[in-house]
Amino acid sequence: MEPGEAQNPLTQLRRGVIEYCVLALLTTDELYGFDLVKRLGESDSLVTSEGTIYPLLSRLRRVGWVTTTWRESESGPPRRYYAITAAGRHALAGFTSEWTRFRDSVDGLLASGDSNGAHRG
Amino acid sequence: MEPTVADPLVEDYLRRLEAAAVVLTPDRREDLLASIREHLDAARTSGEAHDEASTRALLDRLGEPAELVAAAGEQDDDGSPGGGAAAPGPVAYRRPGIGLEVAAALLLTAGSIVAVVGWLVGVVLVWTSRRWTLAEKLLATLVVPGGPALALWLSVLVSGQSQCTTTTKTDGAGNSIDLTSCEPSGALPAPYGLLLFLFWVVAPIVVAGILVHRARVRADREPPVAYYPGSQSRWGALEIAAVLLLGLGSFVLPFIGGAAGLMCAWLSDQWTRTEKWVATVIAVVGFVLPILVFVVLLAAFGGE
Repeated sequence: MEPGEAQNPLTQLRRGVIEYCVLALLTTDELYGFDLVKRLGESDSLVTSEGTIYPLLSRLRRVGWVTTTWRESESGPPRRYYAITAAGRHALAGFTSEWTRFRDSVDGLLASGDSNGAHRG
Repeated sequence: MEPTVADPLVEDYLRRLEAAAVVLTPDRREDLLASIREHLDAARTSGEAHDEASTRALLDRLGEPAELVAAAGEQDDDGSPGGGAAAPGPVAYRRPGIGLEVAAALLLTAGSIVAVVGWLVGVVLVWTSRRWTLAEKLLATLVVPGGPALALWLSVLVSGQSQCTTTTKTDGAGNSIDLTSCEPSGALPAPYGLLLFLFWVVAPIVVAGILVHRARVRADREPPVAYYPGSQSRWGALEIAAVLLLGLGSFVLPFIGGAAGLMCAWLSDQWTRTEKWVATVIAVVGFVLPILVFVVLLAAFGGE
């Protein structure tokens, strides 16, 4: 890993947050891997390497936050669909309230830093 | 629409991913490979990877194989989301090893001492490697069948035998006398014998050396291999070859077998310097021991 990449604070942050984004996407729809990855990829700055979503999905399955089912597709081989479980919804709800407070605090501090800088300038 | 991925770009990507994924447990590896194959199949079915440019873009978005493998290795089942805390330490990268190729070269040359079996195993390994071209594989197989040791064994056998010719002469009294003369048979006149020896013994060693060098150069062009320091098995083909040669090589052919094992040991990037020195001491013992056995046997039977 490049030293610069390791020092990017968002790399660590993304890693911790992205699985909740996956859970959030699954609250409304069951999705198969390719669609799920594409939707995450469409959000700006969220995913740097789409392939890394798959190990994360495996982990979510192992801890019981998502389940998978194989379904026939009209074109090509069967596809693995991901669905959120009750435990997954519970985890997402917990994270959502924590994240809202965290985000507001960070935003507030960053905004005050901005206005201080503006006063000086 | 083609249900399986057959594009050379995609195939190359999957091959690199498979190679990088060897550090994962079998479960994780299968999981990752199956998911990525499914993703690529789905992309193809949806018409997203219809030409070279779009296929490249698709693979770029997926990320480097090493990166994916690192992510798969990080996902630990400790129940803590994020998984960072339980990851087995930072990912490191090393140059791809050429254990297979080195083992093949050693078996083709030094390994041929174990009758033809060593050489045959070497040939199998040569054809298993994907770092050599067809022409190089043929060269390794045909120069020379049986390996250099076969020539040595044969020359020992041939020179050990004597060739006897019997001529019948008639003496003055009309009695026939059988005259038998025995000479050690040099199968070929000296200059041809020397040339044959050079071809049979030196050529395979030269070929093996060149092929190992080429494998090294090609391996260095491959992407670095991701691994977790300390968690990876330290028993690659090179290490196993080193132990076998150090253990058995000296008994089969004093000095050369042990020296080959020593070379393997010092080429290893998995062993520490201390471990390599231990191996060296073992090799020296392995070199001295057969000589001692020989001396003892000579003392025991030499008197008769």
